Amino acid sequence: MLNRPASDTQITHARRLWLYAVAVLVMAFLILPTFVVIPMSFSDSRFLRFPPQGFSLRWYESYLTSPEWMQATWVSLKVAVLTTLLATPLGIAASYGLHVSRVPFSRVLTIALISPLIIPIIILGVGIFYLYVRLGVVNTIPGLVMAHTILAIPFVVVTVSSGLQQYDSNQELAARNLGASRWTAFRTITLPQIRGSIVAGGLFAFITSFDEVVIALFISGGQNTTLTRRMFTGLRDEIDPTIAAISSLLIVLSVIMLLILVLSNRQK
Amino acid sequence: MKRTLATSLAALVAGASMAAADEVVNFYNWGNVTPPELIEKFEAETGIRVTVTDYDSNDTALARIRQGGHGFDLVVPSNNYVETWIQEGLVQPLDRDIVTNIGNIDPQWLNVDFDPGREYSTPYFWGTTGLIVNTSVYDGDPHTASIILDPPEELRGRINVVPEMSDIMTMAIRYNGGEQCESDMEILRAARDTLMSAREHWLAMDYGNIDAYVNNDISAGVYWNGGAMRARLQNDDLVYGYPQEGFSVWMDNVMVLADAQNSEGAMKFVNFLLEPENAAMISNFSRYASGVMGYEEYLEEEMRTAPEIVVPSDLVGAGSFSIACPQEVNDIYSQIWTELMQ
Repeated sequence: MLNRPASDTQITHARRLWLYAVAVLVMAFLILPTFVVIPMSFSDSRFLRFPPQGFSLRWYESYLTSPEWMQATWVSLKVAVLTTLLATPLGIAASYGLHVSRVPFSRVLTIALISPLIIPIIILGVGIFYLYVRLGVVNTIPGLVMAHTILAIPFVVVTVSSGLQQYDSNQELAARNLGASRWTAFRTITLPQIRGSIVAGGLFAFITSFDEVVIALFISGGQNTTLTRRMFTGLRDEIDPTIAAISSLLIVLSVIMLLILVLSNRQK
Repeated sequence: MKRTLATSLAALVAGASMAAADEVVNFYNWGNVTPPELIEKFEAETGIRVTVTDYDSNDTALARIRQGGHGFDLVVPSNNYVETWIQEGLVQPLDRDIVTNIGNIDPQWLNVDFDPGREYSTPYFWGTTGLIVNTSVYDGDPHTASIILDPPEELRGRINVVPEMSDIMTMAIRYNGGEQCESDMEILRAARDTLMSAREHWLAMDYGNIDAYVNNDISAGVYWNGGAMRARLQNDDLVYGYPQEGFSVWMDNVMVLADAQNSEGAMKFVNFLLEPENAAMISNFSRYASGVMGYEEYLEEEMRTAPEIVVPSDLVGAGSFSIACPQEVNDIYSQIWTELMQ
């Protein structure tokens, strides 16, 4: 069955097996390092070993009962949610503005908006730190939210701009011609049609903030230490297996986010 | 939709400000040396919450605090940095009305050169900078700096050196017959050459986590005695060496920052740390010795006889307390160090 071509030019599955094998290897190379951490998180050993010698839930318990880890998790969630709530509307507004405007330097504006994706994050971190020292917002929630919003906006801009490219803006013009205000036309006609892109942008904004560690090393600390910063410092001196448990939970969170993204695109 | 967004934002911001309303002391300390149960005990006794943010070197801590706007209340610099902190006005004198346990400091640590009469600082713990060696890889004498500076064949490419300029420079200078804060150019040149040729045989210059030694990813290194003990308790093959050519003795000291947001709470925490039972809690966790009298009573048995704590009698004379070097000497050290790190 695999070897029977439907036409002279068709490449059969059998002749394509090497390609499938390469694809599987590439996928394994990308995914396996991430999933190695999951069995390690169930280890009963006092330090990380792969494969684990025995199985236990002690490191999940250690995470869930630790005030320090819980505080850091709460800070990260709070910052990620606030970043999403700030970056998403700003990113939508920027994308929409660039899409409909005829400004001659819109390309320059686009590059400026996505520059945080291009500039090495360590440089951004240093710059933000020195600026925040002057502003007095180092080790504060508002400071973290502002910094993470800078990082998240480009993701929203890129995904929403992509959605707007595929959308026929004549529909909005028609609504305007029929008497709708620009805001009403945008809200009732455009917004529902780019909802998938907005959800994707929002999720990217959330993940960008929640996963960020470099800038957090510069500007988070004290009672506003993020989860990733605490994980990073926990890895430095003596690897705490609690980190494997947290990593496993973060993988689950990422998979859930990915599923939401897939489902929202399917609905679209 | 708009109302939901507004409500969510309001709730989150309110949560943030409510958390900030509690009395908090922000402790800026070395990584992995603050026992969680110590913090819990202080919180239970005083109702003051303590957050710990960590750093990995004296220079990192100093640079961060110099910038201002950090929000920390307490810091723990090593003895050879204390004078810099005081001279730059980064710390405030201890309030003796609150820090009443100052009398608990062991007399040998009370009138120290770096802070006479302990006007600004109290001991957190003290230790030595020596060597850690995996005897399953190398079973020679661990008490010599040649392990690092002229490594035996079996250790080449398996060595980690902590990137602490004063520790490593002093080790290389002593190895070449000099002393701390050496300014003799001949000796300094020899020390530089020793370091540059040894560097080729090192795997890394990193603060190195304990697990790397435990798993034998690194087989030897320059390390602090407390970290070495923590590693040895997980792997019997590891031993701690005191370089016979000379090794550094140091002390980390708790100081209240000049721009502390909660000076009174910070002073209470300093006083709390000077209770023998609490000092022992730090020692049992970090595996370093304390500078507080009477802490031995609460010390775990294995700490009393640990080879990383008890210096062999024939090597006691090789240890000397680390001191802050004059600026001109530091400048020469920095030149050599920069070259080494490239």
